[in-house]
Amino acid sequence: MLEVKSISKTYGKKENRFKALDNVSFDVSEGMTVAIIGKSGSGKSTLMHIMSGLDSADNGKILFHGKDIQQMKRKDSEKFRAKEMGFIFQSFFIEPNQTVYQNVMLPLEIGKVGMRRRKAMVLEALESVELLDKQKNRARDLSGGQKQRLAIARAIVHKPKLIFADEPTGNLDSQTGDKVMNLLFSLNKNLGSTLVIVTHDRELAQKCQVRIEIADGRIKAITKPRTGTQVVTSRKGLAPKRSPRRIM
Amino acid sequence: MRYYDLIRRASRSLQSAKLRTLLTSLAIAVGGFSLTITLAASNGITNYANQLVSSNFDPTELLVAKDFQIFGKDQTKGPKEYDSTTIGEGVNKLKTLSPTDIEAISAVDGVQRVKEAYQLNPLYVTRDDSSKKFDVSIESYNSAQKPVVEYGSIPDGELENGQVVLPNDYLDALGFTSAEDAVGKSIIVVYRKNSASIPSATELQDALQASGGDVVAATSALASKGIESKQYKLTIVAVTKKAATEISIGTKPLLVGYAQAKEMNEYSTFGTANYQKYIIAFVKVKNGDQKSNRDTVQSKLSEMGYNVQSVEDTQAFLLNIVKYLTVGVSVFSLITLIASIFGIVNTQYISVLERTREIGLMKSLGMRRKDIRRLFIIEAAWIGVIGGAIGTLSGFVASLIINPILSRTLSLDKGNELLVNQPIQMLLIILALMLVAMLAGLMPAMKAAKLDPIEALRTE
Ligand SMILES: Nc1ncnc2c1ncn2[C@@H]1O[C@H](COP(=O)(O)OP(=O)(O)OP(=O)(O)O)[C@@H](O)[C@H]1O
Ligand SMILES: [Mg+2]
Repeated sequence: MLEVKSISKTYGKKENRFKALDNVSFDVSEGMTVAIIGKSGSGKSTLMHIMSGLDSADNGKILFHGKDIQQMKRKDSEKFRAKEMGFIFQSFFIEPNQTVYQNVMLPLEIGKVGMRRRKAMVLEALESVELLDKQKNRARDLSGGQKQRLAIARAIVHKPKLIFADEPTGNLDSQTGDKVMNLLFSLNKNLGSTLVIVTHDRELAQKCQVRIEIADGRIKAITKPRTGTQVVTSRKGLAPKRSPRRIM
Repeated sequence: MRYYDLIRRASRSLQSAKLRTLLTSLAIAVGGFSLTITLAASNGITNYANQLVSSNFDPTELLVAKDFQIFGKDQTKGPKEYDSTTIGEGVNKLKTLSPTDIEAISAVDGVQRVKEAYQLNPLYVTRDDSSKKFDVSIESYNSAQKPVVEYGSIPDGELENGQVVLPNDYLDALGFTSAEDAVGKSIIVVYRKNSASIPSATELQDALQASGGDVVAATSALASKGIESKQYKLTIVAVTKKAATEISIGTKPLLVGYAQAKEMNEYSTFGTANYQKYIIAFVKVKNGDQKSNRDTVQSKLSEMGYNVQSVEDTQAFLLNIVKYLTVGVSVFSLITLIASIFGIVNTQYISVLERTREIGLMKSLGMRRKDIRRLFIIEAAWIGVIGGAIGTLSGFVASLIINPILSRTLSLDKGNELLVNQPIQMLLIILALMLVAMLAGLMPAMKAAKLDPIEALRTE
């Protein structure tokens, strides 16, 4: 479904040059749960932004169903994000002055979903994150965990095929974190949505079908925790130059 | 995004910054207010001018003059060549129509009749038995003027010799208790023979000798003796009151018949340079209610070298003045509008900066660039509409307050309001202000649309 091919990204100029991503390649197949792990500053968010078409890479391709999203016209890439993709940002990015209901409505407005279908979809999303009773509250009045759940409701309201979640449990206590994770995994099960999660949480990463470890902008390892097999390991300074590996 | 969603979203963000929205739109409102008042005044004055023309001029008549300074048609620059046939002093000389001119004009095909406009400057007016004398002006009656009669009646067409129409201003002074009292009674108008008041050299010599060289005594002796005057006893047929659409400054004139006016004029000017010299003549056109007939006569007279003015010309002349005034005042409104444009650009720009994260979010969720641009332009449009509504409505309320005051000070009749608001005009003002605001919001909107979502999401 999503193929990441030799992505590189450099920030800054001259002496400030910093290689945030260096020749990163892997595949994500449909319906899969993928964890991206790594130390802070290793390039996880950058990678996720590039995978979702929000940011552009210096080199390489991102193929979504065989189409390079970096080469897409702006209109098509906007459409891709509006229709196919849900994004949970590292810091919630909710609209504090709007109500919970209006926040969740935003992707439906952007995706031009018909008026009649909207209400049911918003309520369904709010119900799944247990925020139905808060729908008329202003988003700024929610607690941290509620805000995170609101961000999730907004990411899933239009039932996207592909969900990116940047540290969805980062700001939560472990109990709420578990709840949120269960929610995401049930989406994966029930809707068949592909899940790409950036996390520090080892336990959470274990639950994913594929675990991609990043260090200093390079892929350190890709493992399938369930089977315990380490598909590939690349030592530091020795980035794989071969074609991307299938991980299924 | 759909327009409905964009408009709702825009109004929600304005609501969450109510005070700022209000203050920004107030800047627009000032422009809207002054535009509303300007247009209302222009409407009112235009109406007034039209009424003025139609109630003071006979539309079937043409005004004819010999001098082109009349009706403001003289375009020559610099000093004019001296002309011995003119009347007046210094640079205020005017060419006049002579009886020959009047004859020539009367002979033109399509002319029904010609009436000279007389300069009637009586010495004073008084009652038979009263010793008090009052300054007065007299005009010849023109049925097109439709004076508003308080009591009595004016026979249609023409006043006869010996008849007079008295404005009610004179009632008290002349000792009448009311309009009813005055009608049927008579007054005396006294004219001086102007030529006679200029003493000859020998008269002056004699007077000086008689007074023993005292110049003051000699002059007053001459004055009391030199006035040769004539009394006209006139019967009051009607008393008029002031009409709203009357061109008159100061005391209103007494009205007499045309023949009477001619006689008075010729008596007072006999022997002077003004004798049988007329600045203007009224030319009634045969079947003059048809414009084509008026036009043919007008062009014929123009060819003959006369300065001809139709009622339309007069109207156009007046309306032109109104137009220039309107444009002049509107320029001031536009200046305030330009100031408010900067206000909108500024607040919208700040708003874009403040909402960088929101914009970044919307963009990263796939909102189209043009939709973001539209969102901000619609916000600006809202500001324009709110400001426009505040401005025009307060302008409307102000008109309601100002109108009675203006009508009282200018003593206008009811139905002659000087500030006339037209709903369509008010809507157009709001629409125009909306467009202005949208224009002002364009630049900040472009900036918002161009924001890099990643950059936007990074800002805390
Ligand atoms: N616009 C930028 N300019 C310069 N450097 C940047 C920029 N954006 C990211 N970086 C750098 O790129 C590196 C990777 O950043 P990224 O946000 O992807 O890290 P991360 O793995 O998500 O870390 P964390 O777990 O703390 O969220 C960091 O060292 C960061 O400082
Ligand atoms: Mg990150």
